[in-house]
Amino acid sequence: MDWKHLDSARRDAGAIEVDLIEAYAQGKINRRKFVKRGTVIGLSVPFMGGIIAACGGSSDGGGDSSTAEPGTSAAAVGSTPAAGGGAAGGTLTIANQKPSGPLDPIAMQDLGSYNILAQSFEFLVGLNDEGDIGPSMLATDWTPNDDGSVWTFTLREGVKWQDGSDFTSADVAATMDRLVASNNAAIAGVFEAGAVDSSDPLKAVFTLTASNGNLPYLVSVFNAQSVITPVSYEAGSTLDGMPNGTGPWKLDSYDPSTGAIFSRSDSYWGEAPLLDTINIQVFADIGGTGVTAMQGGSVDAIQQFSVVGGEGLLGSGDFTVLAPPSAAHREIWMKTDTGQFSDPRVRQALALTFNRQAMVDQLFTGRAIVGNDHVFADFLPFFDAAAVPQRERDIEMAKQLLSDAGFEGGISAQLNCGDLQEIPDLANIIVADAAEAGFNLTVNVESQDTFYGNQWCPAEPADPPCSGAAELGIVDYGHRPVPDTFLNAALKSGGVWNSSQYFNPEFDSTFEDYQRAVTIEDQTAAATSLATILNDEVPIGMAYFYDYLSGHSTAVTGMQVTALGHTFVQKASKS
Amino acid sequence: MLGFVIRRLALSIITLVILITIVFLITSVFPDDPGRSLAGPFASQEVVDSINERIGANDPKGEQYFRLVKNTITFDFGDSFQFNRPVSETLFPALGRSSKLVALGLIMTLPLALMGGIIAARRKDTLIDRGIVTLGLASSSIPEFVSGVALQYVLAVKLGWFEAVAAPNRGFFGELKFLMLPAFAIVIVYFGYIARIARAGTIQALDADFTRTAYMKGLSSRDVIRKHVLRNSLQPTVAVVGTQIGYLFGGLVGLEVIFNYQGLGNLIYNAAREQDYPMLQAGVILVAIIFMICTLIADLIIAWMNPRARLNVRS
Amino acid sequence: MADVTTDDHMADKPDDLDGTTEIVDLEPVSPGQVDAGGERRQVRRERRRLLFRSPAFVFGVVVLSFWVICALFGDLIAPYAANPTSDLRGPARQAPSLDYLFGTDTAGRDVFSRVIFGARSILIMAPTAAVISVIAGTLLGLVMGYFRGWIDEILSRIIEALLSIPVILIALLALSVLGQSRVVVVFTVAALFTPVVTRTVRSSVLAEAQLDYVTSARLRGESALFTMTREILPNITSTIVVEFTVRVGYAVFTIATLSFLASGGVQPPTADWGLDIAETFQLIKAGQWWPSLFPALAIASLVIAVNLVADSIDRVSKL
Repeated sequence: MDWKHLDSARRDAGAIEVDLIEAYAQGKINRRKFVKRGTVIGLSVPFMGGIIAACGGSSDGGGDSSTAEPGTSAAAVGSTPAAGGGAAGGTLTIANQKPSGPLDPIAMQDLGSYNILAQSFEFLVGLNDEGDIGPSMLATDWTPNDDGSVWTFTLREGVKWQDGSDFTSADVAATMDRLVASNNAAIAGVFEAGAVDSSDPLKAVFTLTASNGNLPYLVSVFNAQSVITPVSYEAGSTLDGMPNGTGPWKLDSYDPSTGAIFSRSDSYWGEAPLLDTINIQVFADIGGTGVTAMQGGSVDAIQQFSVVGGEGLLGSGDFTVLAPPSAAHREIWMKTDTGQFSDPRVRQALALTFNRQAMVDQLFTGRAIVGNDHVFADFLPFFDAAAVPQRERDIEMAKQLLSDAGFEGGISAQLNCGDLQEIPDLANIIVADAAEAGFNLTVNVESQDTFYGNQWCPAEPADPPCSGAAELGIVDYGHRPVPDTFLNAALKSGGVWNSSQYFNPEFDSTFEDYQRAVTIEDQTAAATSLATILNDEVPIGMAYFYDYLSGHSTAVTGMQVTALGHTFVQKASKS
Repeated sequence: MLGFVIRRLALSIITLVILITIVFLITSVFPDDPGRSLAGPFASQEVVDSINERIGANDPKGEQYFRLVKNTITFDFGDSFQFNRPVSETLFPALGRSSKLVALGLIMTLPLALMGGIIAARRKDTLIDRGIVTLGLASSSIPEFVSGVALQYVLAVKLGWFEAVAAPNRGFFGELKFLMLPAFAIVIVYFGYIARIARAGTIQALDADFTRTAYMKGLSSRDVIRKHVLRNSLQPTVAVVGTQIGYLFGGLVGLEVIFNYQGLGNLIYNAAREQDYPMLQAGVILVAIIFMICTLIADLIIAWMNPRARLNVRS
Repeated sequence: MADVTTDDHMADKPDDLDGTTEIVDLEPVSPGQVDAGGERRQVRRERRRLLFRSPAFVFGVVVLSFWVICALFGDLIAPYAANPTSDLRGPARQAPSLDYLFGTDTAGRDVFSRVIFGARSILIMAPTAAVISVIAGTLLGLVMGYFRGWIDEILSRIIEALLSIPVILIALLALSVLGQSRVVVVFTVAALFTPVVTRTVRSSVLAEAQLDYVTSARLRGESALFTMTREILPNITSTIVVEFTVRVGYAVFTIATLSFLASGGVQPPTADWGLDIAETFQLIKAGQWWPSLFPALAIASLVIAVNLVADSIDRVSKL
């Protein structure tokens, strides 16, 4: 170990950085987790490379970088390299989920809208080549203060809006204020209106309500609503109403029933895209007709598809599968405050009926990993799946728990879900599996939007949010690189998506510890306690994290996707 | 003839007013407040209230009814709940797309079906006749979403001859490449039906006195068919085609869903799923208007072909 | 057949009884056959004999009976449950084999068993909707055709308005407002078929009302109710029977289409043909044709069977 280099690094770094370097040097975390976490707190790649070299490269005790992450079903790849000197020009057609509402950056709630907005608008924090966050968009650098309560983002110079005005920190401040006003699920409680100091046009200084070790994620590509929009935007502004942006593409036309056409933006700060135009064609059923279009060659790329229905693409030699890192999952919520599921034993009993491996095999032909009734994915730098024992199928125990809870004769309930991807199939499997333990469930499938409004989070009664939710249901959660949104919105007391009506002071205070934790040890400790509480109390059943699948024809190169629906094609070309 | 047209138009307008009333009665029983549908489940109650105020959901029912009538006359239905932009911006492009599909479907169906019907009539009660009639009955019994999927799989995915789903913004020939498949599906559904009508009309015309007279005058069989039978046998076919065109504009929901074709059927289907009432009302009324125009034109053609029919519209 | 629900009768405008455009329509029973009850019975016997000699009719009845038996005794016929628990499920996505005649679906359920069980919901819903629409349509048609005048005028216009929209669209509109359950779907479909039935019955009644026996009943001073139900109704039964069979065919078609569009009032995992096709048709292009093809064939065979029966009855009733 090169102590001298390490020491000099320690001297230059702030308190949070030093903790991380220490944890790595002592072998508490492996190289991969060190790099991941280092990126979040704003360590540069050369700096981290120096530390790794000083600690003896990958041969240190915690290293496992040569093997795939345990728990990921396949090597996660979210991009194809750009072809050197790829053919310039042409139109790329992308099959995209049909947006469920107006192209409103703040109010949008679906992958269809996310991707269209992200063609013109950029985020503060972008992506690196591995598909994690990186300084590739509007911020070139970020650093926390010593307790992680103030974060300073240095903005890229020379960025212009498509209308010709300059991009400044005032735009960032205005966007963040709009996000706060809209109760954005990821940042609710993290900072308040007016939190961003924009006195220096090239520095956005965030003062948070409390320490937060994961802030860069919350203002990155992975918080889709945090696209940076100009000061002139207000609540209700839409991309098609006021086309603008700092990104590589300029909106030419938008028809909600067919899609959007973008052309190269002349004012883009980065390298000019190779393609002339992109045609984002929308599909009401991307996993169905979208896949057909991809198989039939009508489109060049597809935003997302499922294993079920996508077999033809997965087995095709003309198609390149992209599977970015993903924590996408389904939550089977059970109402904890009133009704038949208010007894935790009943919730445990239902979770015990899940045949998780069979679900993974049947619904995803193995392209998913078994869940354990909490929302922490194993790829997180601060979580080890082995820390919480896996819940296995146990019908006898489930029956016992039901009878202990006073339901010897079984339980009848309606299992609600939306008509989205494999969810109705999952519902069918749950019904059949749970029947053996005495659950008499009936499925109620509705169109996704109707389901959201009627079963998952009805608007009334508004306080607390989702208190009108159905007793039992399955809801989809898209990918987030850190589980803050899942915890904050769905599980914390009064969370905006808390359809389980889960109110647990112990959970809330541990979640506060987790949010405030800035060292890797504190994060790991808090995350493990949270996962244990969730696994024990089962406000939500969580049967699997599934791979997010996207891809393009082999004629396309240089596309990068995220598990939140983005298809970035500024480096793409088509042969 | 002019009198006939005026009477016929007046009848259509009365029918339209009744239809608007029916649509109003169905949709004015709003299941939940439209402001909530528009603003989404997370909006505050003030936002919802202000939207309800703006779109007039709180107005007296009578006022709402007259607004719907006025909207129909001006064809301005306000903003769609789903897209937050004027209904007409989405509706008229969809109408254009539906027209293309309907036109192509008819161009492919009519000659085939007429030929089939006439051949069957001339060979009445032979194996050919029974074959055509039974084939027609069977093919029109297959739901169009089933035949559509089969065509998609074989002709597009397996053989690669056509585009599997709609690909907008591709120019005339580009669009033809994917419109062919749904048009084939229309042929499968409508061939049997139209052939049956044409067959029945031809049989009746063949039995008619004027045909016997023509034969007696020594005209060749081909001339008789061309000059006398065709003209008369086509009348019922025209009437039926007129009504069916109207239905084709909005009734191909399953087919449009399968091919991701954004015609009127798909638009109205999605509006129903999303409870987008302005779009639903506008779409349904538009389909009804198209239907009335098509049947009107069919009636005019029949009246032109057969003056006797002009007397059949009540004053 | 798509949305041609109103078809057969669209050929004749409401009032043209001169037959210029009346082509496929059902002609009323000719006057000579109707007066004496004995003669009527004899005609019926003759028709029945002709019916059973028609191969189309026999074939239709056989297929129809098959599905009725499946609906009634599905549990005895189907080798597996429609929704077996995870321990009893077969391997997923198996092509048809001796173990699984029609293969298995994504969830490892036996497609053959689901097709058998799927007959149940459609064979309850479709005939129910047809019966309701035929009863309502007959009542309205009798009243309109017998009394004529303003009531006929108003109802005719309403019928015309309803017929100007494809049934499937009005159904989607109504279901989006009323919510979806089997009962709502049955009544919606029945309500939407009623105008067509009414129109057919009305034109038959009009033809009857001009005949001597009706005129003489009126002269005898019989009540309107008596004349309608005892004099006219028996003479238009064949029209009504044909209309009923035709409506059953359309109801199967319409309800299956609504199911396919996830608006049929049937919830998964209930076995239902339209719903099963909707859930699996996207797999066809991945080479898994069996989970959607067999329910599709089931729908087609049922509709064809019903139509063959209707067609044959129509044919003999015109003799």
